[in-house]
Amino acid sequence: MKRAGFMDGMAAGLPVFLGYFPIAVTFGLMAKSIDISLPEAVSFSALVFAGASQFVGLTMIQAGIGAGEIGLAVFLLNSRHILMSASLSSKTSFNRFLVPVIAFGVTDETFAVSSMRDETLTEEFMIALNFSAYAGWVSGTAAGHFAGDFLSTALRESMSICLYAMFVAILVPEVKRLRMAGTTAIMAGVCNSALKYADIFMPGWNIILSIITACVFAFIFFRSE
Amino acid sequence: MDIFTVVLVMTAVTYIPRLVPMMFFRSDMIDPRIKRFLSYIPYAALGALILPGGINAVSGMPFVSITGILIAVVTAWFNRNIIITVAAAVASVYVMLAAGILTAVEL
Repeated sequence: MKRAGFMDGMAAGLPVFLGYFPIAVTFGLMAKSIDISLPEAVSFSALVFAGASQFVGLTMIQAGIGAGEIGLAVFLLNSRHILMSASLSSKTSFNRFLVPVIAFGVTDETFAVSSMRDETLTEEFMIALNFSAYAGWVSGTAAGHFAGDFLSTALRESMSICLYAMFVAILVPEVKRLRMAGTTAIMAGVCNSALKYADIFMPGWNIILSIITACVFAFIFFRSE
Repeated sequence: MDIFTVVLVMTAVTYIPRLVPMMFFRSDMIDPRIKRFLSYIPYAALGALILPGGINAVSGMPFVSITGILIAVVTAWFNRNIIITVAAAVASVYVMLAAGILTAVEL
């Protein structure tokens, strides 16, 4: 079977770079708006390297929620990567000394791009793809933090819709393909809204409870799918 | 709160789920029921991330935010390009803010 090499990885990584950059700009802007310094924001993106989780982290920092609860919420949010990472390694056995590097770059987008390839995945392909995504993410964060001062208020305010538009852009194609994706998402959203309105738990727990509740419902009711 | 503490905690809880399975597991070893339960998490997470937070995406302007999100839904329905969807939503919100459309409507 044909093997996907380094240059294939760079080519596959370009759209991911372009997609990550503006979202990272928003992250940099948001971080700055809640008084997180440039080194802090850049190390956030350089070390954590996770889209949605970082925004959840920022939102929770802003709400004054503690590191323990942030860690739990982010862990639950990231638990899907357990499956993605396992699924990737079931397709190809990567060099075990390179696994720590390859695993670091597993994100929703790089996973989606790499698992759609028909060729055998190589370590070079994975590293090139992940590096493209990483470069877009870290440089975008720094650019956003810098550019915060130069963008107009209206533009900055309108960019706050970016994150939600990105979530919608990832979710909607799945909903078109799988009806249950939409039902599960709506269930979680309604549950999260109800919990926020009820105001019983610390805000950090609402999202965790909503995700678990929606998954339990989906697990019971979509038995056949 | 010390931001670096949060960053380090988040680094650990993000890296471990990525690393451990690739080091020790193969996909076909995971119980199919666990696999199925986990497969719903992305959808549930996205739903809980969009609602209710998205309603207040543009702070204090719920109708501008909701309109922006609906425009993102429609755009994403007709194309798979994330960049186009994000651009359409930002542009629509920018126009609403600049023209003062829906900005004063409260929930």
